[in-house]
Amino acid sequence: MTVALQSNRSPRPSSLADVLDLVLDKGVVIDAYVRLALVGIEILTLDARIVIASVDTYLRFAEAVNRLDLQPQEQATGLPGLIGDLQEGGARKKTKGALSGAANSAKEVVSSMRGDEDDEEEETRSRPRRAPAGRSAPRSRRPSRRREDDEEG
Amino acid sequence: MYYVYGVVREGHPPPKRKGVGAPPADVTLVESASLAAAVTELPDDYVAGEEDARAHLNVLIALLKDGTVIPLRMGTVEPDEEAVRTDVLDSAQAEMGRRLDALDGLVELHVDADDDESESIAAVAGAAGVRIPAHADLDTKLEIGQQVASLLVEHRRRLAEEILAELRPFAAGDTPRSVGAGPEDPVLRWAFLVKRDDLESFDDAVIAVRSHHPSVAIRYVGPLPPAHFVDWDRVPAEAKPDSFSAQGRWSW
Repeated sequence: MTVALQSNRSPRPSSLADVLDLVLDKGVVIDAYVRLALVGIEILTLDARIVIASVDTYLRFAEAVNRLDLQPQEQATGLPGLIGDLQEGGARKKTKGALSGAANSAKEVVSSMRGDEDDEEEETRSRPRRAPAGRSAPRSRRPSRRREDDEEG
Repeated sequence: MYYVYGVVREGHPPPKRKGVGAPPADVTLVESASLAAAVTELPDDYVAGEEDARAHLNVLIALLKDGTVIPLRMGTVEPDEEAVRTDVLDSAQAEMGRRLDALDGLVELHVDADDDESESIAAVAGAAGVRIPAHADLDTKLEIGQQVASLLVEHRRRLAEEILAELRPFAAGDTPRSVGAGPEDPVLRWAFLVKRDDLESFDDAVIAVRSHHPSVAIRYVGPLPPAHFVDWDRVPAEAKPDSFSAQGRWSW
């Protein structure tokens, strides 16, 4: 039991999505079986699967790099080729504090940035990679999936 | 009607746990020849929900404590006990028996690994010298974002390979639970088939992974019924090669 405690092995998945993945997606299907009616479950499984990398993702990454550059010189992690695996860990620790707010505020930054530039006709024309407005619909589902995982997981 | 959870050997003790239903109903075993099916009697108009999904898994986990179990898909029901015998047990006696033998003493373990996005971006962008020029326009930002995305994917792939290399020596088989190579996909969602006797060694290997990758959050779950290693679609099935010889399937 001591080992189990140290390794933090949980007896069962905590998030509903993981449970459904096991019991609805896996397991033997019997020929000529009858399927029990399930309420609410199949839709939820589907919802958990929707993951789309959007333009917003790339902008969030770019913003994270931008914040990296804004740090004081001695904390910068630049210098291509000089940062090996051993130093990587140290560099991460240094930048951790400075970056911890990045994820939370990135969305704000991105939306304000997009809002500003949407007004500029020239910008909009020269942007073939821009996703149509409809692309943002699935994105709004992701936070709810994450919340659920965080709560239960 | 009879709700069926899974198939075990005859003589398997019934699980000391309530099953599906509202209120949760008892689980009994219906036996035929060398096999037994774990079942719960339900009203014919019963509609299952989230709690039943958890109950289904809990019953399988409880059965697993006393021996090998072949999990059935949630929602499998038969009109009566006799149909459980003919449809579930008798129609595939030989194949079910072979599967039970093959899975004897084996359990499924899940290992999930997630990095901290900000930390990983700092590491990969720093190492590659990625910077954003002052007054970068949106196209430039998107380009840099895409560059970071591919660095991030590569970084996570490497992390996943390192973790798998540490765990695989203690597993009889393994398979991805979800495959994704997008920039927002996690480092690892994996299922391992492990001998019950090797459980402590695998525990120790997970502890080692945690200490080697302090910035990666590891979730470790089990022992679970070997749901990812009974991947034959229909019963009765034609003889297939065992699905759980080390697969090493690695499709990014």
